[in-house]
Amino acid sequence: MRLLAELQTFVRSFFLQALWNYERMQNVGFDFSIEPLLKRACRTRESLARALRRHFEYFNVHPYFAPIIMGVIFNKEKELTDSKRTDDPTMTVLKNTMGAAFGAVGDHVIWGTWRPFCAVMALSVGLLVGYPTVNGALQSSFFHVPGAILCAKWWVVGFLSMFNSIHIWLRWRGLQKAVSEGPLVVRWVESLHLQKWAAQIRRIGLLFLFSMVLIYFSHWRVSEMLIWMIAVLLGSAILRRWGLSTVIIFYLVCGVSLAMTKLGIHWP
Amino acid sequence: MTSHRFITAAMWAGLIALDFTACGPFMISQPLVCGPLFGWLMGQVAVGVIIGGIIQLLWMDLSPIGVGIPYDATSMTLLAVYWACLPAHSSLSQVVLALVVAVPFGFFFRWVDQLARRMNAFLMHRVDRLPDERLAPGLWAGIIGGITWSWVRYTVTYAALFGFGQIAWDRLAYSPRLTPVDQGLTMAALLLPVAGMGTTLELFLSDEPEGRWAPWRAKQAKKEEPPA
Repeated sequence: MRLLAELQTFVRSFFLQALWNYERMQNVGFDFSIEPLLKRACRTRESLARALRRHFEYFNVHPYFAPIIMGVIFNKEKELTDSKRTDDPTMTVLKNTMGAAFGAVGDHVIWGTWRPFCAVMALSVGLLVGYPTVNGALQSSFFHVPGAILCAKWWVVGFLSMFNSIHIWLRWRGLQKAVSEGPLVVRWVESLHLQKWAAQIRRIGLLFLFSMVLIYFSHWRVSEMLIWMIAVLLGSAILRRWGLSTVIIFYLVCGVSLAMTKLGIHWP
Repeated sequence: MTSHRFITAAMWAGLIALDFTACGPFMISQPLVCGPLFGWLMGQVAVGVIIGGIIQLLWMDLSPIGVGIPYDATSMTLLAVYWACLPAHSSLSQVVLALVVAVPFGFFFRWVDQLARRMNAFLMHRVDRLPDERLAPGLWAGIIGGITWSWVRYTVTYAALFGFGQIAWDRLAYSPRLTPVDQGLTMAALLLPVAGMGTTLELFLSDEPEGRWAPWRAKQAKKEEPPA
């Protein structure tokens, strides 16, 4: 029965942000997701209603870490029911503290590292497989349909399966661990060494990025063109480091390209 | 394009956009996924691959942290793919032209998203006012209402932009005045992925990739802070 409740909470947690709002952020999604577990934790309708009302307050976390907090709250609610008390003010504090901590970890590890890594890996493999070079030149145009379809398959299937396998595992395993261990789940999260892994993944990501640059550059053999490409590569990296917006970099590259053709620089 | 195809495209676009705001996120809304997918739906996978790849590389670092709503790269991808797929066989220059026109709409969609989330607060208060015994069904209604509202607003906005954009696009893409810049736009199509690789390189070299938008987000958060 508890497994069923866990499964329901797990599925519902995908809708955590459906009613995200500026005042209480993910409160509706959190309450909606945790409801099946709360039904298991509370013995009476009144206590369930009280619990639902209690968790309707402000809540925000990285969405992939939310099931862990739901498991912890289930554990605390069960303790509360067993203790015969009606309220536990530390629960909200615990929820928000864990939300802030996991939010920071999730932003760094998932948004800042894992997603770019999966994207770069899928992009480089797709480019290599979909648009191969023969004797150092692009075999077909970028509009070549079979090549584009092959590349698209690698991008879509490769990226989604790689990214989501970790994401879904983290949600499910995190929820199960938190339900059984309560606030001590923090030890499990620590044992994953996410920050350390993130640093390693970023190094491997750099390797894939360099291979993608080489794959892309190998499509053209005109030295003049390669020099311009290297200039654009380094220039955009430097401009981004200086804090220039990507939108400006985008229009700058378009402007430079137009200016180059006006100046008579043409590539075959 | 027929009106049926045009409305279907807007509905698909609305569904793809739900990934980040309503369900998941499973990353279907990432440009490298939604670009080829939407290009395939529009009948030109190659256009989706080119646009999705360029946008993914350039805007690799966008992420929703805290109250900050990032620039909407998904909408930019979907709009650019739709406009670039209007001709039966697009050229590289037409693909870049579609991108040049679509880029500012990333800001527009962010603004629409901010408005929508204010509306979400209104829905949330409606749920909050329910008596205790009706709170559980109210949560269901809130979630379903939130998803429906997100899908409807996206579909309507995309339909309007696909429609109005199509009229402007027909005039712009085939204008004889654009012929001199044709070569320049083709060159941009080759250089933009390189610029994207440059910005991604900078992202991987950064120690705090998620903090790159921090000053901007702090400003946003201050703006969105509810009055005391």
